[in-house]
Amino acid sequence: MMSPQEEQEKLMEEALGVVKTQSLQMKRCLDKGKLMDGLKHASNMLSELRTSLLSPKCYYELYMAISDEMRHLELYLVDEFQKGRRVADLYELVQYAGNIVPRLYLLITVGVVYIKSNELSRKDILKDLVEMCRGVQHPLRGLFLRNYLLQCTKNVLPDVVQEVASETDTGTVQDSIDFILLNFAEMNKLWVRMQHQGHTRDREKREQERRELRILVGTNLVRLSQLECIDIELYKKSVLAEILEQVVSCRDAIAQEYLMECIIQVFPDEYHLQTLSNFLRACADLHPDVNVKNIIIALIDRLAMFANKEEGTGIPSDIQLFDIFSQQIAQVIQSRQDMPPEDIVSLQVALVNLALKCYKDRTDYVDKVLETTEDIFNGLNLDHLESSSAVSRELMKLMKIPIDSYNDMITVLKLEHFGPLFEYFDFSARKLMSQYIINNCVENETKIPTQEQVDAILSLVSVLVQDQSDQPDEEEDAEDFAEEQGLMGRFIHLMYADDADQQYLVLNTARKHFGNGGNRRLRHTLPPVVFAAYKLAFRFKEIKDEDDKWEKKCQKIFQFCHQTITALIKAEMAELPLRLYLLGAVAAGQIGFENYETVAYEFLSQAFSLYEEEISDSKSQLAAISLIIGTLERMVCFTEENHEPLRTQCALAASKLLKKPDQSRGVSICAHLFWSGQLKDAEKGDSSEIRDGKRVMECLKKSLRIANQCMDASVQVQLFVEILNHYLYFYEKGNPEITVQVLNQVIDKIREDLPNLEATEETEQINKHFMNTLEHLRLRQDSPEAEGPSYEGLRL
Amino acid sequence: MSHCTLCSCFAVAEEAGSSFFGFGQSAEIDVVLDGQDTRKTAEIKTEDGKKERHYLYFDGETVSGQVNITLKRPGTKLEHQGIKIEFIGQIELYYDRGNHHEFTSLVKELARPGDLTQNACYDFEFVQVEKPYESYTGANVRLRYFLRVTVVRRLTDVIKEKDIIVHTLSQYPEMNNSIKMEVGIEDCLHIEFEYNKSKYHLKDVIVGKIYFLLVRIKIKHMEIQIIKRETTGTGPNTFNENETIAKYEIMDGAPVRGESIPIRLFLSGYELTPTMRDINKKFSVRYYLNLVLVDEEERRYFKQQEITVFRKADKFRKPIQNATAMFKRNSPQQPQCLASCQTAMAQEDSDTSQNKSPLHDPE
Amino acid sequence: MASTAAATARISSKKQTLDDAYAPPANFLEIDVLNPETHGIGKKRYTDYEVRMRTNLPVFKVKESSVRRRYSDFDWLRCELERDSKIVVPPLPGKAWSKQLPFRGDDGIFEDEFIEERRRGLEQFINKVAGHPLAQNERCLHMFLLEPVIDKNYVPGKVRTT
Repeated sequence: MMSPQEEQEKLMEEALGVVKTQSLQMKRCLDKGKLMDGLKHASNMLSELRTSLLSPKCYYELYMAISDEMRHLELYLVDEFQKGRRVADLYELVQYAGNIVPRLYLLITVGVVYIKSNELSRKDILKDLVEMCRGVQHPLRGLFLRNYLLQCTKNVLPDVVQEVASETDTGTVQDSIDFILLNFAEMNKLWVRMQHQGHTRDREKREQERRELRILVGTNLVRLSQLECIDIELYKKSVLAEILEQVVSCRDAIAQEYLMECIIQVFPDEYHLQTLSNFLRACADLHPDVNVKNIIIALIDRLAMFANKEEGTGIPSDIQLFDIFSQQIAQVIQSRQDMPPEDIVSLQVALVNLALKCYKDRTDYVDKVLETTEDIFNGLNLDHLESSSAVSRELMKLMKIPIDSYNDMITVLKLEHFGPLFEYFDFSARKLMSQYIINNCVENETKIPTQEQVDAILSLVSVLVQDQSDQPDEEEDAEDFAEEQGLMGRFIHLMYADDADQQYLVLNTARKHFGNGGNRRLRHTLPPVVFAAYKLAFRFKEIKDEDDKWEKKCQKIFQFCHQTITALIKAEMAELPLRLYLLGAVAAGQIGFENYETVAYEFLSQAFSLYEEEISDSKSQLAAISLIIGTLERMVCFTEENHEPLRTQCALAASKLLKKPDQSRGVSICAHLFWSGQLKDAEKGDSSEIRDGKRVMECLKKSLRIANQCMDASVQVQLFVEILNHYLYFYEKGNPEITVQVLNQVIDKIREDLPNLEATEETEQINKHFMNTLEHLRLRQDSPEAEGPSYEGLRL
Repeated sequence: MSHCTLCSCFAVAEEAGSSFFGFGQSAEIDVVLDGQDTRKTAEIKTEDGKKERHYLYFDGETVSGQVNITLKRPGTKLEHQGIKIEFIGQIELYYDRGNHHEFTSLVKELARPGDLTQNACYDFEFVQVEKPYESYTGANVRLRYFLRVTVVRRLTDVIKEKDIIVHTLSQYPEMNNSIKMEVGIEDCLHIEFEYNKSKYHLKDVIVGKIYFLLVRIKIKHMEIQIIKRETTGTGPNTFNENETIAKYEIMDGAPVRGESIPIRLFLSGYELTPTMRDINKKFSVRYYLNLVLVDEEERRYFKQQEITVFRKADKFRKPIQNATAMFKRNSPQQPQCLASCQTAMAQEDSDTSQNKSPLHDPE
Repeated sequence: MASTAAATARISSKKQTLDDAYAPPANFLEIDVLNPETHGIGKKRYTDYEVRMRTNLPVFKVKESSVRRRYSDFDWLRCELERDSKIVVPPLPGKAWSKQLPFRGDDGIFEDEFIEERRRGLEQFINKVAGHPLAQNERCLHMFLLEPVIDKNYVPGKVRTT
């Protein structure tokens, strides 16, 4: 048993063998001038095309081989005619061939030769050929026969508007149009009918074969497009109308899809522009299985490209390209009730692309498309499109277009229907789209300058701002969430108005939105708002000469910050608001508006209360108190009256830390408050360092004492080394309370204890710290600074 | 090849009346027709299938000429009971060999009984002689015209026959309607065929079309045949001889409703004679166009329609040489022919059993 | 060309309507014989096949049908047609007597290969028969193709569409 493949190969081999033999004999006869015998061999060769056994692919190969050989015959006959040989009866003669397929191939060959030698009967012969081909109703054989007709007549079709010489009938372009259109109609008919050949089970294979043959049918349209005398009027009336009639009537998806695209490809864009409505109307009438959107999109793409061509004239102003497409697409959608919504949206995508490519400034066009889409969704009762659905994906594509092409969300926000359409997405699609929008803003550094815009955009991306009614139950990935909210944080900095007053409103609006974000989000979104607010306060300071109310405004800003930070506290956070308070205190201190000392004091107090009431973890406590101490140390806005309770509280807090080592460290840090902490002189307006050497000494001593109480020897020594460094610092700063003896005491103590430690990595580190400290001292000793203290007597 | 050289071939004298005993006088008879140089000739088949060429005459034309009698032995006399020439038109039925039916027989006496002592030459003339039928050679019958010169003698006559060919010419018929008819098998196949005329001359072209009204069978192809039916005898002794003169495929594949298939069939390439109806009550030759549709199971559906073929009174037109012979050898793949109707169903449906499923008139 | 007029003569034809031009052919008829199943044991063992028809011919009441038939049913149909209609009915695939002899080494007529060969033969047979314009009028054919059970006591006759 041979496989079908082998069988085809064998048949082909046989057929090509016959072609070879017969063509050879044909040529031999022609060389000897034996025309009749030559024709007989040609006929024998052509009889191979009568086969029903070959696959379309093989048949095509055979056809090509034979039409190659037929060219010899044609050339010979043309030559004979030119030599003056009268072969007038040939056209009749070949009609004696008993079998129709070889007969018609011969008739075409001879007919064309006759036209070439004598144009007078061109019109009649062309008409006769295309009519006689009706005899071949077998789809495959008919298609190839008529393709042969098209190939042979390629260069002899009349292409003049009016008959050149009236007495002869050489034909006009209209005759060519009729000829091709008839041939096209017949071929299309055969092509469509081919679907019904053979067993139902081979349907798909046949569809594939039909697709392979489509170019045969399409050649008709190519030929039409090559006629130079077809002007736009003729095209509209005689050509396109007829083609569309056939295409629509054939009700075959494969044919319709191909032919519509073929029309788009072969005819000039200028013609398309003038016949848009006709073409698009036909689209509405195509078979439901036809992917109309691809056709329309192909056309739109062509025209959009045409509009943007440099050398081109662009779209004529009298053609309302967008309106036409918009109307016709609506028509198409209406007439195709079962068109999948994703295809509807795809069409809108194409429309938007068209609008953006051809009418860059017409945002109203884009908006109109969005409106239409919204209406359609309404009509279809669509809601909450599943993000995995095709329609959701298409809608996403649609809505990303204005985002991507404007790269300016402010412009996008002007589209009235953008927001409402957004609501059709489900939760995760809204999330994706929102992130897309925010990313776009961040990448393009799009500033959002008014509270209305802030309101709009935050309402739009509400899914990133607050919990949703359609929020899924399961918790989202923490890392993703953090990333998303981090993005929002970056976005907040884009909410920027050039006018400071407006910026305040902007921040207020943002605050309102973010305030609804729930505990999970607040930590990410409110701090940036607070930062932005502090920044705004600095801006007011800069413009204080232009705005006499700036101080009040700053006060208001700090109130705003206070409230905002309070919101964070309510959201059960402590460390973060603590830091924000401290930052606020520093900012207030630096800006120096009316009442700023009170504000700063308040902020620091708030930080203290947070420290005392909310921070319970010892490690956090140490970190927090260190921060508070550091902040207070930097503050320059406090008079003694305010500074004293604050620093005392710090010292107290430090000494009350839970663990001994923490206490020791806290207290030693506190020492700095008494040295470099600054006091404002209310009268002079400037400030100076406290430099209370005694209190410093007290702190350090206390720190040493507490260290002494530590149970862990290693920690103890570590603390000693740290405290030694504090001592050294103040010694170098010139604190008179600290003497070489004191230093020697501490060094001796460390020297005493250190060797007793177990040899661990930790010990090693402590040792190193200590050695470095001694090394430092040694250096100082060797090359003392001019104004520095003396290191004499130090026991190194 | 000129006609003149052809003529000489037929002027060969025939040795006639040779002596029974091998002695005595003998003569050759030669008939020379008037105007031989310019008269046209025509070809006709002989009984054994070969082709002969003879001078061509038409009805009412005078047949005249000379009879030359050449003595074989000059100086010796030839005794005879009279010399005559006859003009004979006769029908020969092959199954009835002995009986020739002469429908025309004219006699002219050339010489009274007497002696011929030297070569003689006689003029003869049959004035405006009626030649009602066309010369014909068929499967079972032959219609021929000839001149017969007889030198009557006591023992054996010396006889010489010379054939001529007669063509009957018809004026272009005044009435020549097209043939148009709707035929079919109920609920299966309805077609309408149309031939542009009912009467065609020998060099005519049949133009027509087949229009499909209903196609519920799986047609594979369609052809048109020219069938020649020669009928001889009468009553129970009627013989029909059918010959397919032409088989001409006009459609490949299956059409759908509303399809119109053109027909154009040139006749000059085929060997046709004019239609002959009831020639002297002896025979008829009729022509039929047979439209045959073949389905995928090789079942054949057909409809025969008689056409009249006539010889046009027209100037001579050179026939296209061997046109049909040229294309006769088709590819070996040719799937269908009458022979292939031997598959079970098709056999029943073939020409011989017309009551099965031929196309029939729907009325 | 002297004879251009004759050489290109045609009778003008009615223009085919677009509906007709693109209508699916009205001659659709497809019968598959498939899914052979062997039932029973011993002497009562037999194989039957699904006979599935798809058509658009109005002579058949339905567009699609599916029945199960065994060889003897095909044989019955053949005899009915032979007796009642004037058509010559094509032969059935052979009865394979030799495969039904006892004491075989194989499964005889129940071998897969044999069944497949017979299936093909039966399919060819029924397509030929059902496509015949005259056979299409016979009640026995309709019963064979459409009725779940063949009533062998039916009244033979013709089926009329209208």
